[in-house]
Amino acid sequence: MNELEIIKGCAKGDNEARHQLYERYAGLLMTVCVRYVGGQEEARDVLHDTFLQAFRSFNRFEWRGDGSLKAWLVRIAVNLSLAYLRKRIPFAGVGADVEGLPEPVDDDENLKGIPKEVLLKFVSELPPGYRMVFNLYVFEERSHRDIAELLGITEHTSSSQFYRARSLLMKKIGEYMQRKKPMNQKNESYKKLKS
Amino acid sequence: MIRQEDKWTKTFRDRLEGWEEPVPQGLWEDLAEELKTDVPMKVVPWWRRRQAVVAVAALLLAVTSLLWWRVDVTPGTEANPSGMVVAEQTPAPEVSGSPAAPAPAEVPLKLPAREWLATTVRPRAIPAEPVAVKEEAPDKSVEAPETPEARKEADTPAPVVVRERRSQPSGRTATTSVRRGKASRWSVGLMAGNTPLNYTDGYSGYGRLSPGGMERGGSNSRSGNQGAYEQILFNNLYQSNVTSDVEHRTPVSFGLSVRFSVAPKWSVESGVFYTLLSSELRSGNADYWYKDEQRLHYVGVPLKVSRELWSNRRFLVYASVGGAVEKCVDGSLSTLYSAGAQGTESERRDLDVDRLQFSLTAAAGAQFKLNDYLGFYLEPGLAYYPDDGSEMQTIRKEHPLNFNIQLGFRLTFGK
Repeated sequence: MNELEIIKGCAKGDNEARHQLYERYAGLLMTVCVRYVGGQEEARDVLHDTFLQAFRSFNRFEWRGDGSLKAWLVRIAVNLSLAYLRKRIPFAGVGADVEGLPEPVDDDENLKGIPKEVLLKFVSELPPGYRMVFNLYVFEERSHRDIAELLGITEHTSSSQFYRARSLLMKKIGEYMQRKKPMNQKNESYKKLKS
Repeated sequence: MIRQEDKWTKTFRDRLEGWEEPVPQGLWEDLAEELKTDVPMKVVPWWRRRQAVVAVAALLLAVTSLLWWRVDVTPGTEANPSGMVVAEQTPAPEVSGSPAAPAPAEVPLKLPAREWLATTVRPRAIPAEPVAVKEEAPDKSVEAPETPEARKEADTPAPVVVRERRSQPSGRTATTSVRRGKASRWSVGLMAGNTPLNYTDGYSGYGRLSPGGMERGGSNSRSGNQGAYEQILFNNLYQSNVTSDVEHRTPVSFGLSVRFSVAPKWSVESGVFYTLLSSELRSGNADYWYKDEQRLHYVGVPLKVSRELWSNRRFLVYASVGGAVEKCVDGSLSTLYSAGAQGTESERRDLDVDRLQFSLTAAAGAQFKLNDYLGFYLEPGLAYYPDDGSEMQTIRKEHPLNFNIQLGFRLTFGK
């Protein structure tokens, strides 16, 4: 089944098409859910609702070329994740103490060396308020003005939350790379010894 | 709006781009189980719908009638119909206290209903009735002044009744023979019509009537009240009590038509008509919701071919098939967003539908003649609207095949 066949099948409520859609996008959407809601169990719940919502409103989906289906599904997942968080946490921007966090520097070297699953884990471990803003800004590419409007916060809050989230992540990433370094060095010296 | 993105942000996004987390075990099975109990919302097979059954019955009726008449037109059966006509015409004097009767006995007024659709050239009447023309023409003068009493006298003096009866076909024959070779009859009409049903649907989750729902706007773009829309989604989407109710209201049409006779019993009709398709959709829960009101205005040109099936002085029954092409000339979508205590916002957008809407129709019509010029008609039938490829949700998308009914007046002219 190609994508158009899947879309047509899903609009008709065809189970095989739905399964194919699930197979194709479940992993990707799970990533979105984990990014936003953090825990695996919570992400599973939201992913479940994402598919249910998608299947039930499929006849409203308009195909607009490659990527439109993915964008639509991600949008549902994001909306549901945010709604999930809003229901469970008061958006007060409470988060980790920012004392002692590094000033954000525009240096992406550390990012390139870190495994993807670790990066995702760090995002999911952010305090919920930071996480929402960070995800919307980085992955949904929203402006702080949009985010402020969406979450009912001020633009200033949005940008300061983002910077705190970013500082927190940079700290964690830095620590991770530090931990890795001795290991890498050990490995290298071990290799040297062997040779 | 403006984002100043640095290298770090971009690299962060790129690193996780396309990353797929392991899918939770058993999730698909859970989903499949839940979806089983879903009532199919929109894709109800058309043959299961009650009105579809009615529509198919009407189509069958129209088609079989047409077929029957095609067979009937063959030369071998010519004599029969004229015999039948006389029989059918017999009751005519009994109802002749009509507006037509008090008028001076003009030839056109005596034109029987059968002539309504037919041209002046009626080859099959020629061999059967030339004698009657000469023989009974005088009766006509008797008949006209007599009509008011005709009803009373109908069952007393048998000979008179017989004369009356005989006078009818003769009148008709006389007029037809006089008209032979002259221009066709034609008529103009005023019509109003609709699909005599509206359509409502409810389902869980959100919907939109026109493009501009969840897929509207990329992640960076914002337009109109996307903010208000999303606010509602955020407040509600996770909740299970979010529902959408759609109502496609009864379409309303009216227009003008012109009808020409092209052959005996056959005529062609065209004209221009206007149709309003309006729909309403409400999505959300009690507190957070939005309401779309969509109005699409169409102007269309129909082309129909009609075949007279049966007629007497008062009634005419016919069948027609044809089609129409319609263009949306104006459209709008008004949306009211209500975000609970945060108040409401409204928005209005113009809608453009560039695609033409084609349709196929088949109908059976009955016309009641108020007099020889003016008739009132009722035309139940069915219409099929193939998908126009546009993104609008309308009743025609929900019910491509639909029962409809048209009614109006026709003013018939003949030379």
